[in-house]
Formats: sequence, structure tokens, C-alpha cells
Amino acid sequence: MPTTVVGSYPKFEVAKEALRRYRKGDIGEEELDKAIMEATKLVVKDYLNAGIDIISDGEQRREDMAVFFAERLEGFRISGWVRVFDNIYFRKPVVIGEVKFKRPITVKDWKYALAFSKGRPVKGIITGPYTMADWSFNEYYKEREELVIDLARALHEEVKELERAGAKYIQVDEPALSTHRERQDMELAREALREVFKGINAKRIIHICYGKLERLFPDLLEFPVDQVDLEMKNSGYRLLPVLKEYSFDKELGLGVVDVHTLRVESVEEVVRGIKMALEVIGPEKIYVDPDCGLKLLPREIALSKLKVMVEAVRKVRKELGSE
Amino acid sequence: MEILSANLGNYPRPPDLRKAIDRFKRGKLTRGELLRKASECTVRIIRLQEIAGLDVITSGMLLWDDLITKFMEGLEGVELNGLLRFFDNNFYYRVPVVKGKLRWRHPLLTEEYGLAVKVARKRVKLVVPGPLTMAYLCRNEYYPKLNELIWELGNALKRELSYLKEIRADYLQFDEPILTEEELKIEHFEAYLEVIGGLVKGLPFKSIVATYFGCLNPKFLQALFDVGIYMVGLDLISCKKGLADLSRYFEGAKALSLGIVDARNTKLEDPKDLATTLAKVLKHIDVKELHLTPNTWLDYIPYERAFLKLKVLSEATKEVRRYYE
Ligand SMILES: [Zn+2]
Repeated sequence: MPTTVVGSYPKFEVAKEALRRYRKGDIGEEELDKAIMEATKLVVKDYLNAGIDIISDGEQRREDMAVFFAERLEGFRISGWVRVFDNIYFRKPVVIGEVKFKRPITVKDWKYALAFSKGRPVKGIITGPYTMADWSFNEYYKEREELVIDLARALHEEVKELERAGAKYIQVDEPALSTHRERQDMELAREALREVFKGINAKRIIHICYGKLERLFPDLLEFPVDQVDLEMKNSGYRLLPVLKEYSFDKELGLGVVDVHTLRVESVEEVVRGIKMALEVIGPEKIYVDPDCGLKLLPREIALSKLKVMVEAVRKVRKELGSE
Repeated sequence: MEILSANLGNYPRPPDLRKAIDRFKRGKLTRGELLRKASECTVRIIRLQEIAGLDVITSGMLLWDDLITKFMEGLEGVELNGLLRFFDNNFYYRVPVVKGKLRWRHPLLTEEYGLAVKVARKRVKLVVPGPLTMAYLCRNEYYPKLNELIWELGNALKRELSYLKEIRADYLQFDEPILTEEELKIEHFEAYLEVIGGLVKGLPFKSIVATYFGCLNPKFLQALFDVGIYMVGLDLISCKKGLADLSRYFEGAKALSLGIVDARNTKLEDPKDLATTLAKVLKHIDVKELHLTPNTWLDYIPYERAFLKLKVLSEATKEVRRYYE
């Protein structure tokens, strides 16, 4: 029962400042890289301090999970500001041509993390083709399906690069899947994932969160992945009976801490969550992690939540006689 | 048949208003200053809709954070807590948690809508969140049954409408995207019919129930007309059924509002293409009044794009009129 993370970590000031200056043209790529490496080092330090088994690079360079990839693939431009909620706006990608892979997008930062990880595996993480399409304006492709498949092919190149670099775990984030309306969307996402993971030997993971997750079943069981990582704590583990009903037999990424509340869960609370999952699925198939990326939390809270999570896992392992 | 181009819901917040709101939140602008700024922007947005060529405009609802918050935050018994995705959009709304008996306290929309009617040179549509959609988007921790919450929200709206009816607008629209959701339970729809039927009775506006993000069940369409709704809105973009298929829906319809311009994609449609496609559907439609609209609110595209989208809409409407005549 390893512990892991979904991906993002609160941004360190050094990364924030460098991104700001890079956008303004005050510094070049090289200086930005240096700052990102610095920030990644701090992220990894926190992960190791908390005792996480499979870590990430903390996504210090990514300002937005869709825009980040769109800016680095061919076929996109970035639109004007679009509202996400309240008075919060973001720039949304616009597809204006055929989507193609240009050059590695995430490998550099993944390598930074690996260099500091003291031998712990680092997950390679990308935003999935379904979500990229869903969160972009499509001005080019006639059918959305064509866009999703082209995105999948481009992202497949990125996944190959990650594997070539040595990634043993590769996670595709598909948060948009949680709001899909029609069954065909699940089929489309499945086909896209097939493209993304074609010929890949690393552990294949999909992360989905926030929405009507029960609607993903049973189609999710047919997805070409080894592990499904789901937000569970926020929704009170109400998905577990659904997993049971469908005899879920993949590995489960089990979200046990809420990433949208400042309250740090108690160890007991997390232990209870893990035990609920153990009634449905064996410990050898569970990977314990937070519900989602930690980027919205203050760093101290994020770190505390990770520590609590690891302590809870150790407690359960002990009871199971495996530690 | 009268064919009009109409805005469906809001207009994206202009950049200067976004800045003003940020400054207000940081305490650098007083509430009065913010409201003055918002009024100034409302007038501007109304002009923009008119210049784009729309026959029916809205206030733009520039201070609304989403469909329901503006109304829900005025009610007693509700706390706003957390964010959830709004249907299948990468857009979030504040979740109203119902913790006690709902009580409407004071008019929430009269000032904004009064201003719109005062300055508009075209017909004006007032928009309110529908009670069924509000009920479904709430986290109900108080009422034993959802039907009771639907009733109470209807009562709160009734109080609001008792003020709104003094405003000399032409249309009053209830937004009910939930009507396109498969998960909608029939018992709730039935309770809703009673509520909405009661709400529109005696109102001095032509009433509209707008649905979007999916297909409306044809049975629902008929039921809405049966309880006295004047016009029903359909989203012809998100509902992927072919137009020919949809035309079956229209039998028995009195007045329709059809979302034909994609307000969730920046790509600009060709007005002529739109008109040609629509002309085929029009053969099957015999209604008193037809509105052509964006398929949903304009919130999902950048501010700069909204005007161009409305222009496409008004040009397409003119073409359609030509066909029809
Ligand atoms: Zn997530």
C-alpha cells in the first residue's frame, strides 16, 4: 500500500517570481529553468520529509493544466479571458490547426525531481486528451472526436519521452471526464487513452476528480489503464460501494485527504477511510494519496496533510502486519 | 410568425468591471463606487447588444457570479459553501447549502433590471434562475423532501416577482438547464410544473422557460405549455439530435426560443449557413413568436468574442426572416 501524490504542489515563491519575470521578458529560459529546479528541489524535500513513496515534480512550471500543454503543442493559440468562477478568469486554449507534438514538455522538470528524489520513483504526469479538448475552443476540427484523437497521438509522444527518460509510473489527468454527459464520451476517452498508452510498459494511471464519478461506471473498467486514481474523501467515500458493485479489479488510487479545505484531517479519520476501502479492495491494490493536486493549499497545510496521510498508512500497514 | 434575435442570458464581464470588482474585494473601492461602475457598464453592454442588432436584449447580468448565487445569497437559511462544476462546463458555481427555512428578505434584482428597462431601446428580457435548477444545485440539509425545497424556492421567487412586475419589460425568463438532465426525477418535475404554473399566472410579461446544455424531453415541452408558459427555449447546439429529428418536438408549440449560435465555442458561424439550415426546420414550425438566441449564456467565451457572436446571430436572423417571408 504505497503512498503517492496526484501531482501539483503549492507553488514556491522562487517559481512564482521567475514565471512572472519570464512572462514579462525580464529573464530567459535558462534562468527560468534554474528557478524551477530550485522550486522542484523544495517540493521534493517536503515529499521526502512527509515520507511519500512515489512522488511528483510538483508542477512548479505549470500555471494551468490545459494552457501549459497547449502552449507547447502545435495547433493552439491562447484566447482572451474566460471566467472559471466568481471574478476568476483564465486564458483558454483555442485549437486553430492540426494538433502535433513539438518537443518534450514535462521531461525536464521530471528529471529535476528525480535528481533530488533519493531513489524514489517520480510519476510522469500529463493532462489527458479528453480534458485538453474539453477545456479548449475548437475552431479547427470538424468533429471533436478527431481533435481528441490527434491530441492523444501528440500526447503519446510525450508519454514515450517520459518512459524513455525512465518513468515507471505515468499518469494521465482527465478531470473533465467527471462531467461527461453521454456514454459516447467514455468510449472516446477510452480510445484516446489507448493511443496515449500504446506500447507503454510503465504503470498506466488515470486520475479523475470532482463531479459525478459514479457515472464513470461500468465503462471505466474497460479503460486501458492499470490504476484508477479517484477523489474519495471529498465525496465521503460514497464511490466505494459502486466499486464493489462492479467488482472493480484495477489498482485504486485512493484520495484520502480533501484538497479544498484548510482543516487538516486527523490520522484516525484517514485510517477510517483506508479501512473502508480495504473492505472493497485488497491492500496490494491500493495507492493512498490526496483527492487531487495540492496547489490551492498553503504549503504548511499541504505538508501537514501529507504527513497525516503517511502516518495513517503506516498505522494500517502495521495492523495488517506488513510494516 | 414573428422572428426575433434575442440574447439568452448574460454578457461577459467587461475588463474594466473585472478590475473594479477586484479592487472592491481588496477594499480599494467602496460598494457605492462599484455599483456606479456596474451601472455604467450595464448601459454600455445594452448598447453593444443593440448595435450588434439584437431585437431582444438582457441587462447583461454583469454582477452575477453565476446563475444562482445572486438570488440564493439574498435568502435566509442558505449558506454558500464550496464550488462545484456547473453542468458539463469547466465553470464552477458556489454551492448553496440549505440549513434552515428559506426566507426571502428584500428585492435583489429590481435595481439592475429597472435600469436596463430605462435605458434600453429594444425589448428587454428579465432573467431569473428557475426553482427546479436552483433546488437541484443546492445541498439540501434541511427539507425532508426535495419537493418542499422546490416549493419554498418558488415562494421566494414569487416575492421577488411581486417587485419585478412593476418593471415594464417584455419577457421574463426562468433558466432551467436541469430540464435537460437525464437524472431529473419525474416527481420533481411534476412538483415543479405546479410551482412554475403558479408563478407565471397573472404576470405582465411573456414567460419563457429556457433549457440548455442538452435535449429537452418533448413531453416536458408540452407540459410546460400546458401550465401556461408562453415560450420554451431549446439548445440546438448541445442537443445533438438532428434538426429534422427535433422538428417533431415542435408540434403543439406556441412560441419557441431556439439556441442556434454556439456560445461555448469561439468559432464564428456563417450566418448564411445557419439560415439555410434553419429554413428547413421552419417548415415544420408554426408558432406565433420565434426567438433565435445563443445556445446559453455568453459567459463561456471571452468578452471580445461575445459581440461578434451576437452579430452573427442577428445577421442569421435577418436571413431567416427573408426566407420565411
Ligand atoms: Zn484532480
